[in-house]
Amino acid sequence: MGIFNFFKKKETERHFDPTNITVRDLGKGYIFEYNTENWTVTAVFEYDWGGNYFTREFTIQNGEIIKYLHLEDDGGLTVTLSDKIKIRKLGEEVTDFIYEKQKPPKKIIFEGIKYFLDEKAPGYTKEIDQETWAELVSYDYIDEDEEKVLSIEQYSDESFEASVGQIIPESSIYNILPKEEN
Amino acid sequence: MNIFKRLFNVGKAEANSAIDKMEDPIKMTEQGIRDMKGDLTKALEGLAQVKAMLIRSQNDKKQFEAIVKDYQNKAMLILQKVQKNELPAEDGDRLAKEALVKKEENQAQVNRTIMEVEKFSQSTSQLERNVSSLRVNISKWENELKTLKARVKVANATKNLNKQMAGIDSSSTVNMLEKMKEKVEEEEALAGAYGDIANEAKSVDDEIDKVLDTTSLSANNDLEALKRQMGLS
Repeated sequence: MGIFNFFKKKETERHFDPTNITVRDLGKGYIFEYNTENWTVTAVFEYDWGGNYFTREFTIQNGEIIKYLHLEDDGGLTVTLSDKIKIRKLGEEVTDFIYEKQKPPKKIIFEGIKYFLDEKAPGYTKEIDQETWAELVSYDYIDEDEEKVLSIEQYSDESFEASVGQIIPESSIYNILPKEEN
Repeated sequence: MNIFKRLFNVGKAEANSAIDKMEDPIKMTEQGIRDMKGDLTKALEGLAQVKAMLIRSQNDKKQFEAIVKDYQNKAMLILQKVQKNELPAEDGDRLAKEALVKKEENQAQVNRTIMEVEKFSQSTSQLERNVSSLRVNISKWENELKTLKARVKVANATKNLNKQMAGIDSSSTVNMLEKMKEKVEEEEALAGAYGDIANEAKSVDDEIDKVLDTTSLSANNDLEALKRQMGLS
């Protein structure tokens, strides 16, 4: 997981410029457009990678479709849009490797695309308005063209979650509308 | 407080007064922009609320449409079963009728959500126009503010330059140098006067010393004695 400290400050009040609300300003209940469709942020998760480095993930919903928008500022902002997938969808070879070695392999081929392990990072995560942190190790993969991403998160010896997605331009998230503060 | 400091303060006060007069519209514009941004935030929040209702209505509409389609299919399947003698005609008709009643109930919900979608779409469009208008005004004000600030800078610089050129700026360097020159001349004149007085006082003392001095008399006596010793006198 990349290093960045953009989200390290606890935000107690909003600070966006209403004339220019960006993806960095997103919060729970916000509405935005992506691919000419309306999406609503239904949950916000914070990841603490140590050394005051944080990333943030938004659960977003469009009707019955749920996706995950991950923001990472490692000098420049990287926005990834992902779908959660069952770990078994990665194939027998990968799942066998994971359960034998208690960690994923360095290369994964999924739906014809070869992903390479880019980074392994231990950290903690929690929903932003909750108190309890969960420990995890994140294995981030990227394809040869550095456009598609795959991520496996390990929460315990036998608990793994996977997601697959793509890097999208920041500008593809637009018409962001804030939720009224309570 | 010396005169230069006083003069400088007078000049500074005058300049501040002039700038204050110019700053009022700047502060007013800045406050106006802050107020408009507050209004824009509220408008965006309102738009978000209406858009959320629009999204919910659109989702409801899709769900009710799916249910309508489902009851339609069920009614058809029931009739097909009757046709295939897999179900008694009486039961088939009753169940198919029930399915069609359910279909109609949900069709009513579809019609309701269509109206809601229409209503919320109109509200959304109206609010989007308001938001757009506010954005344009804020942008206009921000540009005017930039221009105003630049004009204040230019006005102040021009004013100071003109004052210096006219030689009426009490805090100008030229004026201060002139005043310093006068001051130095005054000091020099005063020093000269003290010098004259000092010289005058010294001459009186010298005369007194001269009168009272015995050194010269003693020397004359010594000279006469030496001449006598040498047989010259």
